[in-house]
Amino acid sequence: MMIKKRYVNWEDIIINVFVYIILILLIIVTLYPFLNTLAISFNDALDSSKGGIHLWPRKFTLYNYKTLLTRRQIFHASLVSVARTVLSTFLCTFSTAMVAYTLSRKEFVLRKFISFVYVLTMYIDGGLVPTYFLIRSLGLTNSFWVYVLPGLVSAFNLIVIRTYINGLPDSLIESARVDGAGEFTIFFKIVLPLCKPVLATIALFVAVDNWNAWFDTFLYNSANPQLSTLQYELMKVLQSANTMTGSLEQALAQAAAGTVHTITPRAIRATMTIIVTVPIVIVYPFLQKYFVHGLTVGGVKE
Amino acid sequence: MLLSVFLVLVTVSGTLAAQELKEFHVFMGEPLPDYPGSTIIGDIIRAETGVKLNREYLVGDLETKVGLMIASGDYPDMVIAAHFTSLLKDAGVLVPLNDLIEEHAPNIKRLYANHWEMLQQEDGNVYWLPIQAIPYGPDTSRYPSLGFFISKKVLKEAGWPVVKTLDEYFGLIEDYVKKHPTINGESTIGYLTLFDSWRSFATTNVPQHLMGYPNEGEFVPVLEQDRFVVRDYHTSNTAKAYYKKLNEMYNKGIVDKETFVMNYDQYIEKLSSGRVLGTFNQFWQLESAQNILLRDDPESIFVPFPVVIDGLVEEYQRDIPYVQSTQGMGITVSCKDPVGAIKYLDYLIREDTQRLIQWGIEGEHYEVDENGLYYRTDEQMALFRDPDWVQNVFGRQYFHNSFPSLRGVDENGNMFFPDTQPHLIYSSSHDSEKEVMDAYGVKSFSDLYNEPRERKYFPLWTITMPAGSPAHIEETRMKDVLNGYVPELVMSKPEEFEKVWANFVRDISPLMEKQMEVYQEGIDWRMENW
Amino acid sequence: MNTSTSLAVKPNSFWQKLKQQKALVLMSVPFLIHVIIFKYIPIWGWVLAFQNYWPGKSVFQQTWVGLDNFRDLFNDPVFYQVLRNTLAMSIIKLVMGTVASIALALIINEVRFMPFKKAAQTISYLPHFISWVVAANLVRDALSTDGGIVNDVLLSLNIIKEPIMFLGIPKLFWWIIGISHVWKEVGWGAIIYLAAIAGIDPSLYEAAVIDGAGRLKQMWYITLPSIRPTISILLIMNMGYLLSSGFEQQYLLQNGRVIDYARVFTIYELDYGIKMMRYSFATAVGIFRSVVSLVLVFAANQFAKRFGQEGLM
Repeated sequence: MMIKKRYVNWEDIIINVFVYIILILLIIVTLYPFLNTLAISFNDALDSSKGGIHLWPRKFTLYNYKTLLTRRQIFHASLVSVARTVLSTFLCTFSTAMVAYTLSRKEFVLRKFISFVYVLTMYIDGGLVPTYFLIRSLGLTNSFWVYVLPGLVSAFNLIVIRTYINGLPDSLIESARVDGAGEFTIFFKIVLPLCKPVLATIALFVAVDNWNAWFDTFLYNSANPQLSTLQYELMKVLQSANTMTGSLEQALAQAAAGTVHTITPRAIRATMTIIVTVPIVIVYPFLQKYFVHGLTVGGVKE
Repeated sequence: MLLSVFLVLVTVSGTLAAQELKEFHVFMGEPLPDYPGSTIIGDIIRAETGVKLNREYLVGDLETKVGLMIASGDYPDMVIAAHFTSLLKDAGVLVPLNDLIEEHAPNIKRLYANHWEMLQQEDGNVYWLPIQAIPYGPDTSRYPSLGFFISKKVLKEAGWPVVKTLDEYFGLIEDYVKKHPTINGESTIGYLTLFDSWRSFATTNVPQHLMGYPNEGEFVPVLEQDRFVVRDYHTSNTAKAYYKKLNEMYNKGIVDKETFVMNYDQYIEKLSSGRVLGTFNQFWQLESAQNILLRDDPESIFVPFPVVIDGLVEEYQRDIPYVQSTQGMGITVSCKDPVGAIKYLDYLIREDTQRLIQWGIEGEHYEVDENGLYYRTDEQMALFRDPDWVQNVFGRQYFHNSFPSLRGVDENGNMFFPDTQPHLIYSSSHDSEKEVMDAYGVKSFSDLYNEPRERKYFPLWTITMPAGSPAHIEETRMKDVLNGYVPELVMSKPEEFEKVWANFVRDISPLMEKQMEVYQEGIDWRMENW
Repeated sequence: MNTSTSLAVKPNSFWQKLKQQKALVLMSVPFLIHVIIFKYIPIWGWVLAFQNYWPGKSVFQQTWVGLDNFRDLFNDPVFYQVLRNTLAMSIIKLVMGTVASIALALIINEVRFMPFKKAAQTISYLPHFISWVVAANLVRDALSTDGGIVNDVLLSLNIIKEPIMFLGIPKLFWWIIGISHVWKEVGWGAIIYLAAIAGIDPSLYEAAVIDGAGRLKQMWYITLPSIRPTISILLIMNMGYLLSSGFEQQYLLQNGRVIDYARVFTIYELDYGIKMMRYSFATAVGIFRSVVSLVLVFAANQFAKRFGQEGLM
């Protein structure tokens, strides 16, 4: 890449110092709120309300987690969340890749038309109520599939994958074609394996969106607790944190009696935040190596 | 692989719950954690009725939820949705209950008889049952429904003064802050006012109370000759004096700097810390903080006073016992078994079930003395002082808040609500509460207030604007203006107050006329028909 | 299934071509039908805007009101406030977000010590993966006057004398939205530019070094121009979102004090539409939003093409 210089270069030093300072600041600003929340989630609730908790719990306890994780709703909702995330990720990524491949074929006669149809969906929508009517008449309300089907192929992801496929060397596909391979064979045997980085990236996009979604549960599945998702439970907890502090008063009564365990709205919020955030935070670093290669929008290819 | 395991798990746990019970899907417009599945009273009720309820509690905001529910045509079997009740009826969601009640619900017919006229709509039908009926007579409670609350320690230090006017109230607080700038090592908060989204009425509704009125809502019906005439109070001299006082106190650092951005959680957290000396609110909005203080810091509990703007105003702020006639539980057109539903509600409302829900099982949760009066032993009392037990083990909240229930005195002289049992109000109070009551020579905090005045239409706020009507739009705009200006009124520099006030009056005044017409019509109708 | 290459005679009709491309049709048309069902069918709902929709009746039984809802919309003073807020916040977010992401990409690209580079990248992505529900809570906590870290730091540095109620100052709200957006998305936003930078031909840098260009000059004359296509296509794409971006963020961070500056179109549709059962009015707002978005995105697309950049379509 770069040719190393062996003499002292002031520009180099200044740039390095500047770069490191900025990045360290960025790391602090990014991490602090999470670490603070983490500390509060592991700290005794009543003690937290006195303030002054920063990076480390002062009075360590697992009680906050015990209180939330023993609610069966939360356990069940995490299963639903995992199921929808895994299934959506798989189906969406695959479908989007397939459509993207056809759109990358310059000779495909429907190419312009299909691209146009998809791109338009990025900017227009029929609104909440008509969409609801549609979902209902398709029988998707109170159904697990409403989490998966409506968002199968998104225009943005399509553009990203198409751009990536466009960047692959044409010679690979052409030579396969000369060897008599059909479109399906080319797609499965040649394009898909080459697309691994972009697919990993899109998979992560889809996974994050699915994991973080709560509005679809609110709209379509709120009548069926079996289909509740973890984010929706988070919303519930954030809202009824006060009605849950029934247990705060009880805890205070216990505190007076000597058995110290309390929970406050703030502690509930912090703990639920961590419960919801940790799974996705554990997953993404493993996919990280693909991001940079996978995400190319706007041809850098000459 | 992994995925199929999850899917199987999800479906299995979905089918396990099905049993041979009649099921009803109920939507309730309040946020409450999901039903624990089994509670003491819930199990008895389920066994006796053979009904399993699928409860859906509110998540997100009620307006969006119900707005979508109505638009979608997907209704639960039974629904209760606060001020949306009449909109549900207008949209044809609710079925008329008259015939159902006549044929299948003798208890409902009997216990709601007092309120029947109020419940009849223009077409003569009844579409919903208010959550509380008062069949035999009203009760009093330990705390009045609203007031200017002041910390006990302020009163104690000042030698138990009776707080009558706004100046006296803030005078006491100011003196205390000067003497005690910190409490438990943290800075003292003189006054806190709640401004979180829809709860902001705790700040903006205050002027009407300073004029002596009970909670009417956004306007007050003033008795002029023989007619109650709807008047605005938001731009009154009292409102001006109130905001000016808050402005003065804010600039002196008595009003908490964060008061206009804190949410309800933070409000409760601050109140329960014992650092706050005063707040105005309806009692139910600060009840949980008061309970925490009673256990954690009993000397810092809050005491309510019916504060008015000056010595000339006579207060009658106590609520007149009323039935919230414009909202309640209804049965929807989607319900396949309306007879089963009304029978279930009829079972819930009868006195025996109400006693079970409020008092529990005789001998286990309460006792009966030789005069037939109910009481609880100390151990029983301790159980019921534990809100977590009451909610999750006993299950009271899951049958009380949203379902039709009875309050006031029952058919043999007890109270339906244990905490309003007259001979128990004082004796079951916390020692710290007793000390205050003794100092003022009262047996309940409600006694610090005058008796309410007769107002047959009461209250104005249960009249709702027709959905999407110009009056409805005007109401939303008016609240927007109110919410935009009030913080500015309080937080502006004292010399700018007059200017801000003039702008406020200019902007809000044109946004009242249509609402006042609707209210006036409603009041006149009620005075005629109730 | 040898479709295109072996044919000597060039097919001329559309249908002939389509027949030859059976496989491609099979791979894409089912999804085309899917998108038409899920995204285009709901657009019939736009007729609601020309009615006075009342629930419980079918679309054909509704009263037709022509353009009344649009007239109401354009006569509503709140509408202009909402338009201002939406545009202001979108532009602030777009400008701050783009500049910060490009800057971060350039900075990360200058780090030579690989473990640190990786760690910094990984950490910078973190906030992207949490929902706004969670993020809004973190932002609220950080900005609190009661032990919030931002006030604590400013106080201890003696920059301010008493805590500032950041979320309660209407004029600050737009900037809080901008900054919290940058906080959440800067790391993730930088990826796309890093990807573009990674694709730059190394020989360009080698040539520059031989010409005696320092690192700043290389950045300015090679890196930035090379990622220009990426910048422009992202800007075009985002033009279309100027009226619709950000609902959750504003919704969750707003409070009564700042509502005049916080209300954006989606919140307006809820507050003055659905919550009041004015479904038709809400639809009219949605149509306005969609139409303006389309005009903006096409305009930007044409503009970019004229200046020799790659367009979206």
